[in-house]
Amino acid sequence: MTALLELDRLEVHFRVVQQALTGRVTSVVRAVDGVSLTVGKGETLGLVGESGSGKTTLGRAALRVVEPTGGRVVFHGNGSAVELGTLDRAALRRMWRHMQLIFQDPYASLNPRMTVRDIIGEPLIANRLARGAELDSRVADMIRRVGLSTEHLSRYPHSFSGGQRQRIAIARALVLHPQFIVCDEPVSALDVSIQAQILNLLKELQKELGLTYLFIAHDLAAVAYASDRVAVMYLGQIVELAPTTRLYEAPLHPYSEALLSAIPVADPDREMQPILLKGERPDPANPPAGCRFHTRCRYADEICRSVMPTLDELEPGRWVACHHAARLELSGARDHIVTMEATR
Amino acid sequence: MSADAPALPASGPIRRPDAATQWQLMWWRFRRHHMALIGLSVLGLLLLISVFAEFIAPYAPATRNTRYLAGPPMGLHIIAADGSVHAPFVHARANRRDPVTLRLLSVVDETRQWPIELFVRGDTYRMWGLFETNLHLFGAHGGFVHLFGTDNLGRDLFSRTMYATRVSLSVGLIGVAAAFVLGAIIGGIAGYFGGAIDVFVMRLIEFIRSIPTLPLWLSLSAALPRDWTSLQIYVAVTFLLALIGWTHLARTVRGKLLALREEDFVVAARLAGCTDARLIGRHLLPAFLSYLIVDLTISFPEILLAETSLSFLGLGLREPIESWGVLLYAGQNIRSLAHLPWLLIPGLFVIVAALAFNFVGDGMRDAADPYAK
Repeated sequence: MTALLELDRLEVHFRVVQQALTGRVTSVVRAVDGVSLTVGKGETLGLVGESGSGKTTLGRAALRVVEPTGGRVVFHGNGSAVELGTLDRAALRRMWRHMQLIFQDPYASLNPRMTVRDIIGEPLIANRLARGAELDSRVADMIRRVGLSTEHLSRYPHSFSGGQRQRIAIARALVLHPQFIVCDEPVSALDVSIQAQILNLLKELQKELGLTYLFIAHDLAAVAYASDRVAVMYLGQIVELAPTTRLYEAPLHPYSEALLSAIPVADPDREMQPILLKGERPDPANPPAGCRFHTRCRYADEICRSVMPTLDELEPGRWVACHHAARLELSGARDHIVTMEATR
Repeated sequence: MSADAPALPASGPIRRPDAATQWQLMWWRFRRHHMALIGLSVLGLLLLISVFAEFIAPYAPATRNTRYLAGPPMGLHIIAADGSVHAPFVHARANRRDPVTLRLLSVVDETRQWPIELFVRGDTYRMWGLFETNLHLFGAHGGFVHLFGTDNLGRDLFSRTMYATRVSLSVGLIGVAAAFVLGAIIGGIAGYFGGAIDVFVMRLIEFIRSIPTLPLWLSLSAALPRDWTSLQIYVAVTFLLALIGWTHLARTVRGKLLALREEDFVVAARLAGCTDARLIGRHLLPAFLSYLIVDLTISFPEILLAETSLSFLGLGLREPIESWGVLLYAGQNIRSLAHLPWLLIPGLFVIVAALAFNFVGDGMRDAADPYAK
């Protein structure tokens, strides 16, 4: 696997200043706290975790839409390695021709005052890459690729459904022929019946255009369907990274186990037994000492409370940050994988 | 717009909601707001009056009618005392002195009629400073007509109100325009750059808004040199009003910009490679232009009322420039209220104009709201 994007101990810390009568309180929210990841060329890397775990921030920091406060992002675009942190604003704008973002909410990501033609053509015009007849033909080509027709071009976003809007957003992201796309929960705002269509569209486009995806989601079913590998995130850190099928069959981290046990099964007779995590997710401004998951982990013991585990490669291709990963027997979501493979 | 679908107009172009611009959608929604439509037509009428004031007014504002001093409004009639129907006319007037108080009285002579005629020749004026003419929209044949009555000097209140409409509306328009420029620039800087500049501007605005407005205006306008011509005072007062009015607008612009900076479609535009200029011009500005226009419409009556109160207190505009407030100034004392209540008629214009602007503002706000059903 050749790397396309490397994250090296990436950190995004937000300073939060609260003004109170008694004075100001400054706290630091560690949204992304030392994440190292490698996204291989042509693969889909899934990124899961509950709300507030830092998935979206990580995705945006990987594009430098959000400014990282530490670590490096290296993009191996055209054979040469470029560190995004060293680029000035103009160079970064040029770099964004190769890396794009698909947003969660297609109702917020399209400018309501522009026609679809203008929205899809915007990256080409802003980068002065095409105009006139060439612009028209590239926009027309793109709208057909995402399953809409050229007669939609003169309409405004308000006349489209959520699924159609997401197709338009995908067309805008792909019109510059980027290599790397961050999909930030691209289907979670859509109807279940539409989700599969959009996931299939993303897969087809990946095959046709040789795209690499960082696929962010909290829906494990969607991630399982879309991804080759999955990274599980908890409180700004990666706790497990593994090939999709193996993670779903036998997770190595207790947090992954709890997440997988909560996947709904499409069988009314099956009784679900999700592992209910104790308590609330800790405040990311004030994470617990030791293993960050120990406050809610049912296997936690003394060492978990004091020593932070490192992300180690337990088996080839399987990385986990847990002191007890080697001895725990954790249950996965095997049934889910089986039904998923059948529908594929 | 689905609710509108069955009510497609029989003639004219077919509506295409899917291909409609944001402005078209706004107009369609605005048209369903009846009060706003009425307000809009009232404003149109006032605008027409201020453009053609010289022509609509039967007399020049300074012309005195010594035969009708402090005369009450003269009603238009179409039925004469004998029951016969005529074209619109006013009853003739004759002067008589009260034998006890010796006050000059005007007596209605119902047996004689002064018919109203259109396009009559009267006082000479220069239309828009371009050409000289003496054509007026209407006048009374054989006598005079004072629809709103006259003041103590015998000047026609209707004519003066028409001229005052022009001044009052223009003070409002220029004031709002100046406030708009100030507010958009200062609020824009605060919202776009944020940080210390933002904090400074916001504190400044809070300070300005915490000053009681009337004493502030009074002291500022009292500071204007006494030897200025009324035209200079007019310009100065307009900008004085704008100086206070911009704060509200600057806040709206700043808040809108702060919210918009984080919107997904703005982030998408940055990723699409837009430069700052393109981002502002193509994405940010159009997104809050409609809000700005709504805000302007609503702040218009504020400035209008401020001008009226200032002039009413005698510290705003002064004769011979007449505004609604200047006209109301004459109705200040108890003698006027008791004997010449019609001097308060310009106050009705203030109320109607302020209401009309508020209705139009309401309608526009609803129409501009993308979340409205």
